[in-house]
Amino acid sequence: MTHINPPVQSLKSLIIASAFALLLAVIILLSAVLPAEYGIDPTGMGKMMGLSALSAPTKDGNKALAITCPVLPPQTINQAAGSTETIQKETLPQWQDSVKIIVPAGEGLEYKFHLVKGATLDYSWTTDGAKLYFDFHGEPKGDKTGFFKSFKESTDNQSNGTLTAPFEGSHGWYWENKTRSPVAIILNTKGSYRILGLL
Amino acid sequence: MTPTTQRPAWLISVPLFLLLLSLSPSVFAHGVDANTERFLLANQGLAIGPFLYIGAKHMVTGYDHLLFLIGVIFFLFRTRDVLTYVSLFTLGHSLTLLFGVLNNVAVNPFLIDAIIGLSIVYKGFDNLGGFRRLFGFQPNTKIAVMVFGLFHGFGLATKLQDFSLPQAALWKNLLAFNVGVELGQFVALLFILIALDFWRRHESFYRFSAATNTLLMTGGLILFGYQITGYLING
Repeated sequence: MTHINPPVQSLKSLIIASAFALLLAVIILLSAVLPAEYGIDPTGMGKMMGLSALSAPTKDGNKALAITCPVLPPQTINQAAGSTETIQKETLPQWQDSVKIIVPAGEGLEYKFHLVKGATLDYSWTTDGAKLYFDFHGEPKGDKTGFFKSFKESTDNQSNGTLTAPFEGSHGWYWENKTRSPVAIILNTKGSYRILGLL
Repeated sequence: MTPTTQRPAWLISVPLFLLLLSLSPSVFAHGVDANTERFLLANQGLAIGPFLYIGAKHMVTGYDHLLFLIGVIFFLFRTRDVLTYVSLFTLGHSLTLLFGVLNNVAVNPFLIDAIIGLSIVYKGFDNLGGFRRLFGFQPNTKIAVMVFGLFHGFGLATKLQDFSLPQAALWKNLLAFNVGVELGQFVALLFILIALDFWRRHESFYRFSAATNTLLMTGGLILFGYQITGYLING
């Protein structure tokens, strides 16, 4: 015999099977899928297992990432190589934005802003003590050759000034921490820009 | 009892080889991964090879398609039956994919994926004999497979349209994509068939068939809940 008809289950086992499938699906959805995918966490399990960190605010935000350069959601920033912590604007009235960036030991990272041509960026940053190698530079929008223009390159524990963008594109710092412990940077900025964040 | 047909060795080695080639760390339902997205956005014109590959990859890595296929062929023991059902699924899939993209028919992808989740639940329930037990008759399984094939195709059409594909050589690219989908389906099917064929030789296949189809229903329900929530939030 090469063909077997599927067995027909009894009503009782049908109900048990369906109820079990539904129950298991609901449990997995509530405890894992929804927290991880959408940040919906009715049971608190997602937070307990750290799944909530996986979810970006919206799907559209994720999609736009590959096409334009939107603001990185806070969760993503915390996930990146370093970690940042936005400080309330109200406490620092003279600046528009203030961000704390942690550069891990022995690593480098970039923090960028999008500026149109002629836009200005006032900045001031200080580390918690250690000196970092940094390169303040800009990359023209749409350039794929890897070209960048350096505005300031040095090793220091602070820097401040004003940049008037020579072209439209992403402008910001590359910091490299050559020490054996993480270094925190407080970066204050003001001007007409869009934050691209950690790259 | 079970058929003890001898499958030639290449039936096993070819898919294993392909699996190694295509082993990718990420699996997507109807989504398109970042590399593919970049390619689709940048591509202007005829690109048979890439579209073939994207189509095949979509099928091999799309867990919703795979679960549905497992459900469909779970109780199909004859090669001829497998071919018939898979061809019907393919026909449905291809029709809506071509029609959808060429006529710019866009359906909300969350809803489509939710329906695909339900198609898995349906098939699991059907395999438990649920329709015969509850309603005393078996809905025509061939028509059901064909109809769900139509939905699976719409899901794909909607996804591809997000990339506003260039009109030049559109239908050729689509055709390449579609052929890729069939190739991918063929490869995926080989894996499933080999695994099922092996399992059917053991008593446990019959003992656990109800449990397996219950889990299939669970998987479908999870996909359904996932997509419906997505629809409510973002749709």
